[in-house]
Amino acid sequence: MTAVLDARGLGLRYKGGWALTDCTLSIPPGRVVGLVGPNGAGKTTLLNLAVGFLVPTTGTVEVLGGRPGSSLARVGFMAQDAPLYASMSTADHLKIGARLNPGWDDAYAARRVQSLGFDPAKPASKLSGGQRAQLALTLALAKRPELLVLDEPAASLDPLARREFLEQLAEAVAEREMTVVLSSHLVSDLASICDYLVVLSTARVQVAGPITELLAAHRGSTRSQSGLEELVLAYLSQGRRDETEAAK
Amino acid sequence: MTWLTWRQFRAQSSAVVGVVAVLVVAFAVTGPQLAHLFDASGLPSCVSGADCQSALTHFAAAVNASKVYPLLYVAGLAALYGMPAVLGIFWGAPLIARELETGTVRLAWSQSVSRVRWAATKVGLIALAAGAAAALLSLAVTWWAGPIDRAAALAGQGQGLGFPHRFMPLVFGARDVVPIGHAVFAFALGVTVGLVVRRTLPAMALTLAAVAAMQVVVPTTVRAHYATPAETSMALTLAPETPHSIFITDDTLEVSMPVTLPGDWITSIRAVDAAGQPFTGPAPQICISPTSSMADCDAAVNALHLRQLVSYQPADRYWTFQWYETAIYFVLALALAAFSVARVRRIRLS
Repeated sequence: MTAVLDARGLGLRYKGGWALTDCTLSIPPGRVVGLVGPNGAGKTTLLNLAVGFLVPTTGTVEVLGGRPGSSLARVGFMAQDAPLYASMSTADHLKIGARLNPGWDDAYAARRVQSLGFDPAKPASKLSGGQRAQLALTLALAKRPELLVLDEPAASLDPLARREFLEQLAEAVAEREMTVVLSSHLVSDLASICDYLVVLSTARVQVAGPITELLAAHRGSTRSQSGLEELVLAYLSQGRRDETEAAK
Repeated sequence: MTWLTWRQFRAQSSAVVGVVAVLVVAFAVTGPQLAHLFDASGLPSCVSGADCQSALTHFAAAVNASKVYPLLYVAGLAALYGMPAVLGIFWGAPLIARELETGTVRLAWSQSVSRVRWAATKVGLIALAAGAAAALLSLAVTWWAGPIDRAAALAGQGQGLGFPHRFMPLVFGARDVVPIGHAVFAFALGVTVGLVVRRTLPAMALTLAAVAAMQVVVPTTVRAHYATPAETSMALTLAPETPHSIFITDDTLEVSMPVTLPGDWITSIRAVDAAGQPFTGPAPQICISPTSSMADCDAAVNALHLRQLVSYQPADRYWTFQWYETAIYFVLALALAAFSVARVRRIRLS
């Protein structure tokens, strides 16, 4: 099986330094990938490179076997802070989805919005943070993508809305065949729905692999009963140690 | 993409559409009466010079008797000169800049439509709307002002209405097809500036400055070069009873007589000496002497055998100039639009 996302030596430099360096990563299809790391670790950069919003300084990245942005209809993307047209209603947004996507599943979108129970005539600027995130997610899901990319989808939500959002995301993901890449700076967001983990810190990939394998290997080496949280923390502090040593 | 473009455009277009509608109605209501004044003045049927002169005086008096006609005349000019700036500022500059600023491009570019199609549809459709709005207003103004423009083209210096005719720089840009080209160009300029600056408010300010600059530069330095001017000359023979002007400094003399070429656009009037060389002075001694009379000075100037050379664009070139200028604006608009669409393809979102 070919990788859904294949990055080789991927790097991006901006004015102040490197946002991402030497990222080599291969994500197999069908996975729900959690991309975790502290703020500023390069998560958004990696995702923006994957959807073609940024162009790499070094290396290459292929998405669904092609250049990022070349298969728009097959990739669903929900950007950070769920951008929506402030003056347009939920119904308008669904119409945008229907008009601009050949694979649009209108029945699914309508059903999903109805089950979420918010007024389809209300402009997006009057929706709550949770509703905005849900609407943006609906737009990304209803185009029936093979790859769904979500950049910090729950970051702006309060804890309750956050849990609700993630539960509904898990449901939607379970319903259909697709690969999901979702970033977060909170491990707890990812624990419930992801089966694959990429830890990013200080612009580098610290570790990537199926969660079960990572946990098994981690337990083996440290002989502790750590959960996912501790595993991630171990890799993050490892990354920081490497950084300080490199600085010396 | 067409639907999304109209959906976004609906709110921002209403102000311009409203103003255009009000003006068109005002012109439609008052236009027939103005045309009637023209017919009733005897101008359409006059043959001899004296007949026409009296008809012209009649018409001028009738037009100026009401405050409505001069007011609407100026309103038409102001609206057609203001329109390009308004379209550039409110339709062009925010078109892409606002989406970049608010982040909605991330939503738009995550749909299955390529960026090129996204940008080309937005720019293309709204350019069409800008052209249509300008065409409608220009049609109304040109039709309404028709009687005044025709009368102005008959009148000589200091006669009749006192309005410039349609080939004069001020009126030319607010008649027939030129306003359409100008509107489409200003819109495309706004889009491009917005895309380069990426922030709506500064883009609006820059667009206003650029459009205003074009409105000054084109009539003053570009337009006269669309065709080689025709030339005519006349002897500069001064007499106390004919109007003329003399301007003297230490070693220069500027002398001219008013030229009457009804309907033509006079681009330059200059004095030449008997050998055909430009004449700038010096003034004959007698003109500087405090004791001599005006007639003595006139006679001394006449003795120089100066001629007055007039460059002008004949009235029958009006449409050539209209199409020429419209084409220039369209070509510029097309280039700006192409540049914008190409730039959207390469834009990076951090």
